[in-house]
Amino acid sequence: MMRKASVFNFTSGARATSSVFAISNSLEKSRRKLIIPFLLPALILYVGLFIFPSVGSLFISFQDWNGFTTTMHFIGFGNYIRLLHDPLYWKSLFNTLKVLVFVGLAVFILGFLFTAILSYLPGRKIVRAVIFFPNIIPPVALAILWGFLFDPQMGPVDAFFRLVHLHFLNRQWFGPNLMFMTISLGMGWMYTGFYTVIILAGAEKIPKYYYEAAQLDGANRIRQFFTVTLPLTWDVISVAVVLWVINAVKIFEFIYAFAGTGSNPPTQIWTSAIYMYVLAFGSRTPIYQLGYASAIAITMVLLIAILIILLRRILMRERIEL
Amino acid sequence: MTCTVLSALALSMTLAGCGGNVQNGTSSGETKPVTLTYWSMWNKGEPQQIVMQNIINEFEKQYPNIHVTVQWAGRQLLPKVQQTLISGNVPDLIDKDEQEIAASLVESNQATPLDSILNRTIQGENNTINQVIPKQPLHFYDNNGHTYIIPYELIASGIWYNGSLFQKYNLAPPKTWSDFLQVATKLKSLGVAPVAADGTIDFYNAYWFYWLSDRILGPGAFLKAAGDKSGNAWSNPKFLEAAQDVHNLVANDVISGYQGSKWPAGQVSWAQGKAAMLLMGSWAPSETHTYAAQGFQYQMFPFPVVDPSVSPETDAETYLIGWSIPKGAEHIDAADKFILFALNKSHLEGISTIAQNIPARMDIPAPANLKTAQDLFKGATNYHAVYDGVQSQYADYWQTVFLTLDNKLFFNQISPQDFISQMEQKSKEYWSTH
Repeated sequence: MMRKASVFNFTSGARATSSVFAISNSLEKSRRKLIIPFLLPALILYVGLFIFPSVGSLFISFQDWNGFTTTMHFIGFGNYIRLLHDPLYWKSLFNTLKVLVFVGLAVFILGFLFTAILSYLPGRKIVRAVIFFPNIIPPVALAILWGFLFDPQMGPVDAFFRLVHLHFLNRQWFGPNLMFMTISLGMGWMYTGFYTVIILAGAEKIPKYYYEAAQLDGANRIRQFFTVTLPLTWDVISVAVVLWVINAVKIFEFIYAFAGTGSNPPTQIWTSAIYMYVLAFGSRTPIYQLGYASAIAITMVLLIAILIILLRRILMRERIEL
Repeated sequence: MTCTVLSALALSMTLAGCGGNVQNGTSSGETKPVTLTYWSMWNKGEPQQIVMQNIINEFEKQYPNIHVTVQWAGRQLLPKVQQTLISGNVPDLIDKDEQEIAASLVESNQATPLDSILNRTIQGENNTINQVIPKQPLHFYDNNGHTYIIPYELIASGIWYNGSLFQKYNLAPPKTWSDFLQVATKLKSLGVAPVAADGTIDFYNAYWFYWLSDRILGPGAFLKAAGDKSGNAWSNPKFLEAAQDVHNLVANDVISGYQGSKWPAGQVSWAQGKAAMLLMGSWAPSETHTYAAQGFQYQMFPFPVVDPSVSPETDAETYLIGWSIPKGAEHIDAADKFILFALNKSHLEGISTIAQNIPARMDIPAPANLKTAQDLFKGATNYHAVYDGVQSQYADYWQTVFLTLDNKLFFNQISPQDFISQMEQKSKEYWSTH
């Protein structure tokens, strides 16, 4: 009986399982049918607004075209060959890399520092809001403010140095020698808050008992940061670094706004993004070389892709579950 | 940013694919209601925008069957027109700096010839366009014998000074370069900074070399050197003389402490009396009058003469702002009517009275601040393009080769000799790849 029952149970169980499978399969089929309609709007937008323009840009990069006519002249790799011999392109690319590395280092070092301090600070929400503040102001307005702060004639920075008799610190902050550094400083100030908030969000998810355990083991706050905070926020940091690479290569408005008259900034502070824009659309100076500008755009996309692949490999760590 | 530009570029490409050939415009009938699409370089709230809006209002009253749809597109107007030229949905009328229209629409054969309206009478007057606008500025950017742009505002650069400050120190506006240097020396001895500048604007810095080239070698020489594919034209010792003069301005503290001046700090400093002179376009008074020191008297003198036989004081710079009709515009007739209406003396005088600038018509008095500049136009024996035309004819070269090196010269980072040798070398390199 028992055996029968058991057989019976087994069979009914099998039936039940099979019917569950059947329902599950049918649900799966229905779900699969829904995937395409749900994905389609986003896919259309993505293809239309990103993939197609990228392919379009690649196509235009092989043309000589000013954008005012319907006729394009195919020149093959002409624009890319020209890039190789264009000193301004390399200078702009070098400036982009300087922003990427040096401003990036400053942003992340300050980001870690603020994270280490703010994790223990009672009023950290207010401080976090304050350091995040530059991100909600248009970069053009920030550039104007930065220009005012460091103006050698009327700016408060130089006025302060004069007041405290530190005349040796008075500088032509936007002169040819320091302009790029002053602007980089501004970019560092502008982006630190954003990346601090990202890292801090990761740090806040770490359970307190890890810190308590570290404290019991005699770790001071610096050691706690390196042995608890940093490893447990590594995923977040990796994402933040990737975001920074994309941002740094694209940085445009803050530098562009420095000319202040709707004209191009001096060539010494051009990044690849500025150079591309000047060539494509210009300002007061009607260059309009859309083909060449597209070639620069393509090299920027390649640069971002290469850097991201490299960084993902370098920053790859075994995931630690909290 | 990348995405935005890529999108714009690809959009242009799509439009190129779909748009087909741009059709020639057709005239709109007088009785049939039409909508004239006007894209202007002015931003809403700018004095010229107010002037244009007033003209549009009057125009619509005069021609009730023409409705004007205006877009205040700002200075980035031409890239917007660029896309419509490909899609075929072009505006009927645009306004912009003439050298930019010439280098884009006219150069690409995408502008409608306006020869037919030059001899038509201006609305409400007996004068024709040919009669009221000086011949040389009117035909400055003609191409293949056709006129494509009708100017309505003239701009000229010169050396601006505070008349009351010059009176106080008993200084007369200098006529020659040596007079200018003497005035600068006297100002320095009186503890007044001779010249202010906004060093972060490279094309303001370029005024000095371009003007000195013009005054030493004559109009056209700078343009010729810029277009010389061998670069050898720069070895003319007179270019070195011009570079030396620029160098001396900085080395002798005639222009001092403005390398890091971010616009508009330098011109503010001048308007507040901290410096005596400013080399600037005729927009200087309208840009600075709100923060000018009390009793500031705007005066201007032409760039000092070096060699009167090649470039006398009456060799005037011409920087024009004007209207153009893109090729494929639907309502050419309505656009023509608008131009002829707006050029009416009573309509255009707003450029002087409201916008505080110089109208293209010489019979409309310029604002008192700009009388000297207008007199210069009236008495001019020759007109040359701003920056001798290098900015518009060789835009890429101007931006990437000349301005980069000129900034170095202006900031005393390279000697005049190095400037010239690098101009020779970089010009040769540039033209070998273009």
